[in-house]
Amino acid sequence: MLYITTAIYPEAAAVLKELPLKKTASRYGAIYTGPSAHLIVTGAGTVSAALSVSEALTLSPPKEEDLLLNIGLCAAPEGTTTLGEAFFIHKITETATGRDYYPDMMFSSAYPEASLMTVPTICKSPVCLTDMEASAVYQAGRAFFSPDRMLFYKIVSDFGVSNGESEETFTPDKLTALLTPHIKPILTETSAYASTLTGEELLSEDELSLTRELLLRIDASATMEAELRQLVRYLRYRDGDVTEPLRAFLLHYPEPVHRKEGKVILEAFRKYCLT
Amino acid sequence: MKLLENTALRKAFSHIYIEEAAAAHPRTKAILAHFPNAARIPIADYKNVFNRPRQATPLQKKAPSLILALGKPPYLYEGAPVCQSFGEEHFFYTSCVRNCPYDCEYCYLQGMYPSGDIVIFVNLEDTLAAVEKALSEHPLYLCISYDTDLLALDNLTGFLAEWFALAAKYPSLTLELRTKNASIATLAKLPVLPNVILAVTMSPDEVIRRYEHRTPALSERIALAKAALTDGRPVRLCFDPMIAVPDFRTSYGQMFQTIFTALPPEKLRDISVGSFRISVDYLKRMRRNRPCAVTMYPYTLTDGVYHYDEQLLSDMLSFARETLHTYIPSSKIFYWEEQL
Repeated sequence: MLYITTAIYPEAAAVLKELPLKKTASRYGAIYTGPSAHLIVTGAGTVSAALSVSEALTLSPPKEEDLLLNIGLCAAPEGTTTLGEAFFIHKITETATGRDYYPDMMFSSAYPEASLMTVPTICKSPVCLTDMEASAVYQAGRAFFSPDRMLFYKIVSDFGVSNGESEETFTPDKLTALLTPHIKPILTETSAYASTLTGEELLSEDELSLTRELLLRIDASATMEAELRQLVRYLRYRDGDVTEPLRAFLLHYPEPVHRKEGKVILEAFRKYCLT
Repeated sequence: MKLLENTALRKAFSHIYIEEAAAAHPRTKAILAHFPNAARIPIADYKNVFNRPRQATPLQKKAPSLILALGKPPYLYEGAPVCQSFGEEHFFYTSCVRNCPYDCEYCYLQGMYPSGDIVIFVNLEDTLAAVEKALSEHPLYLCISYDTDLLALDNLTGFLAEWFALAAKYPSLTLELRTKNASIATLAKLPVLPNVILAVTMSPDEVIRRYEHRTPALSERIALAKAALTDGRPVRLCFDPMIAVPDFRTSYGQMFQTIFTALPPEKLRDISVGSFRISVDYLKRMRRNRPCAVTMYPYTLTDGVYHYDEQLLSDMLSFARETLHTYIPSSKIFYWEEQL
């Protein structure tokens, strides 16, 4: 599952052209949901971004193989790049606090890498790539994701906004058009990375079920349960399959017992693991 | 989390984080010259990257980033209780590099550090100065390759030439250079000194294949030890940690035989023997980050240290003792278990 965040609807529109997602209820911003992705439209600024991302991740907590993907527009210093160019961000500096955040660059992106500054107000003359949300997305996301699973792509929309510029310069359609060519390549490379990660449960359904049965059989306390689960996982790593010993123990101890006797059975299982 | 094998991971050291204070250091420039195509990312403090919460350490170990920083005092640390002191009174270690290019599943560094990236503290001169200061007060037995493998990284750091130069200057300084590396060419560039011990960690091929990823084979490690003995270097063989693989007697027995067929035991300085043990906090983190047969083993806990249960410990120790005594006098063998 991808958790994609954008700040404003024209950015989201580019994503929605590629992914058919349905709008769902949310308290902050807007959330669109589909079978393989959530799209969170946070609103502009760090507070909105933090609130929206936190809400979305709390409502639908990510699994180990999921990614948080921030795609959005940014400003760039004039003369350093062209409008519509995209960058993969390896450092985010929040100017309001002076703090730096580092997404972990675990795969080679097709896009050039760059640093980004997150600023509190629209930037008139940027000194590097500049946006208004990335640092907040990172901070809200890190409670749920490891740094390698938070990915930031920024597409240059302007070289700083001067007071005289009219709204026609940044029409929604123009902004969407800047992002559109990059959405598919970004989704392709991030999905490829996501597919290399798996948070699959180590134990099979059968092994989990037999473990539960043995736990009931021995009237396990929370401590006993933790110990048995660890022993079962150890055996799984060591021998590749743990159904046989679990079945053997269940067969050998066919009746439920009180906890005191259960401890004796657990100790016997532990001894079996050490052989 | 597990990484499937068909991943398009970054290359090792494709990203180099450089502390602003370390940027102008000559060693930083020398190291960077090895990686002209790496992304260089300036950082205010190495901890901002190295200490990030919730890092995917096993992934990072597969392709680590490099962090260049300035080390800060203290530069010397007292040896930990779980480390073999070899009866030395002033037993210290340094940590001028953090983390190792190898990827051993049982390595305590995965429990100690929140990251699999490698930090090089480029200001080695400050550590050397601290050593000289300590030497003015007492002799020093110093392990310089505990939190890393300095021999494996020497082509990059060039640290060993400076450590050896210091050892040549101070006979009261004894250095232990622990390694799983097998680069005879790197070692050959360094002078032969009576107070620099090359400590080669030996493991059965089965353990190397299962748990010590990217490390040289046993035969290569033996070749390094043999070359060092031929040079006249003090050599220590470390059978530490011994891992309780099924039928450990066969695995370790064959290894002992192979080693002592190739190496003259009388020329060895000493031997270190210890079974796997680890502090409770480190194992907790390792189980979370890297569950595997070694980390998930049902260890026995004694005074905050997990180790094999008494019977297995005794079996492993007795087996090692009985076998090794046929090759080498007991006065030259140090057992960690005896300190339990």
